[in-house]
Amino acid sequence: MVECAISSHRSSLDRNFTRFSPQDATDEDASFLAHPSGVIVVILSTRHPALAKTINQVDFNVNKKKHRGVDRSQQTVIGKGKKGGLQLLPVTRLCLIKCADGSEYPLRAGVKGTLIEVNDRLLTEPTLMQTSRENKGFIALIMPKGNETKDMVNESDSL
Amino acid sequence: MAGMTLCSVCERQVRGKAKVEGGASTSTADGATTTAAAASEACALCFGTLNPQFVARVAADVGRAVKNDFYDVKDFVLSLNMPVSLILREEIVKMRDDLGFAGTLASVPFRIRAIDAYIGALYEATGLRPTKCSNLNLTITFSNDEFLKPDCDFLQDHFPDEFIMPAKKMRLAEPPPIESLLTKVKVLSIASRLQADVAKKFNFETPTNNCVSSFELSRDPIFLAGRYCKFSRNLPQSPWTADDHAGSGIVGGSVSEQVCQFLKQKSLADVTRFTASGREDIDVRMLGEGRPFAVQLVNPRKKLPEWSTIEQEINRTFNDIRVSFLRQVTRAEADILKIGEEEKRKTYTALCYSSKRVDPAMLAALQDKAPLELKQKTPVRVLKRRPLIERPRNIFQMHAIPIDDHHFQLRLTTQAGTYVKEFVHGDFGRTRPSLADLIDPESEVDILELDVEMVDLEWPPGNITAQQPVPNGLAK
Repeated sequence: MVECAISSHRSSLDRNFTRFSPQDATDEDASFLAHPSGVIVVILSTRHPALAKTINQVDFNVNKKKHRGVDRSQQTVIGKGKKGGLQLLPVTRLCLIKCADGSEYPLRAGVKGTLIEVNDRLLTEPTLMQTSRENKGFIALIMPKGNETKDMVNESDSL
Repeated sequence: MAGMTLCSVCERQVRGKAKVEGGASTSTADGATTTAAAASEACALCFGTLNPQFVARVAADVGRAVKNDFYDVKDFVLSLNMPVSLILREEIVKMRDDLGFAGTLASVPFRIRAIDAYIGALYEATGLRPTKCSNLNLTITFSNDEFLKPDCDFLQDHFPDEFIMPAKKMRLAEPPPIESLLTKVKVLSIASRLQADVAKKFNFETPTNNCVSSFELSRDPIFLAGRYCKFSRNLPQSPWTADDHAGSGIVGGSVSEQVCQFLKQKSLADVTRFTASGREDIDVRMLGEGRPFAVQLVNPRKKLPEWSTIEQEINRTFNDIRVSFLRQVTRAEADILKIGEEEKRKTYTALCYSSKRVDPAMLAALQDKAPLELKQKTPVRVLKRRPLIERPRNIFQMHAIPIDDHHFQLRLTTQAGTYVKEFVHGDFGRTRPSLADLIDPESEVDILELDVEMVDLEWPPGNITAQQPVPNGLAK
């Protein structure tokens, strides 16, 4: 019983989530881990240029210059309906990735929905986004409005 | 003073005169008259409910219902619900001394006269013995709304403050009529304020309709307690909810549905209700002595055979479920299941995988890291239907055994409500500390299989062989 469990090991991630990426993704697009219940985990794409560099800072306050915009890391949500969560459109920016070589990459939500949580651990340990992209370095949790991943590439199929 | 029409039964019992044929009047010293009803059903006091023909009809209906059903009881308890108007009249009669009621039963409450009238006929029709104490309850309801409006008007004239419609109801699109305030409770509360002079003004109209009768047969619920084990990793504990799971595997019912269905068929109950002390995921086995559960059988027709026989039959019927310690309990005992959920402890074994090579020394060191407190944010897999909060939870004991370079078995005892899977794999770092944090922060740890070994609760109550809470929290 133990042997067959070990030999056919699929990780909890593989068993419970489906990986999605937008069609024709750009540097501003993130990838997603979708749970069957609906909740989406936003992660850095495997093809993102920042992966090869060193990430110095992840800034969730994306509109400082214009003195508007909300620091996504400061929001609180209440109740089952996640009231108070930022309403996102696909173009809404989640964060700004700042690398050691000076380059900056804004990251878009990519889906329509409610922002539930951002990974505030990235504020103190930004390199987690590179070293643990699908685990401790996740970016945010989103509750999508509808079937937001239907037009995306299902990367789990190709595994 | 208007005459009061009584039926022959009330005439005899209350008025004290022998039955008089059709229409004749008798008068008393005061001049108040009562008239024996031409059709002996019409009666201003009992509304015809004591009429022997009416009684026989109702009893026959009940008899038919009993014969068509399968109750295996020999006795029953009778309850009668009378029309509100009738209750009002009884109260008014109490305050009047001018009616000349001199019968032997004049001061006996109507309820008693009514039960007396029905008991014999019901025994004849059903073969069940009426008693004060039985599992089976027969409730007969008589209703007659003919006098609802006049009675309401009468009382409203004299006690207007009792008939103010609450503001909340007035705001509705269609506020209910004032008559809806006239209930049995209202009548009884007014009765305490009723004076003789007001009572004298009441007019005892004779009803033109018979009462409408309805009845309900209901047996007291049976509560069963036991513990269940679940040996399948593809069987949910409660009915499948589509948004929880990845939709893999064929599921034929759940533990609760299968156990309930079995008991329902054996007892011929109307409805079954299943409660358990917590639950396990579809892919988690429940081992050891099992998880405490209770089943309520609503309106059972048959008493169940001996518990050990049922247990054996359930265990023979279902491959992946085992029920033990089955026995009957009271409602109060069944409620214990839900009390103090937070304090209960559960023990698990988890088969774990580590991406980096496992260091046996680090595994051994785990034992000394307990007890420890975790902070768990609502796991991603349940986040859809639960609010996002961070919960503190305790791990009381841990013990890890290496299996090979990348696998080990972890046995742990936790506080109720701890998400064990999330403790092992960390849930994207949202449960801290996670097992990886404790063994090797550089490694990624994952859970392959989970079993529940013990649910710490003395259950069924009073059963000293089933799961006594152990002081240091660790099972044998």
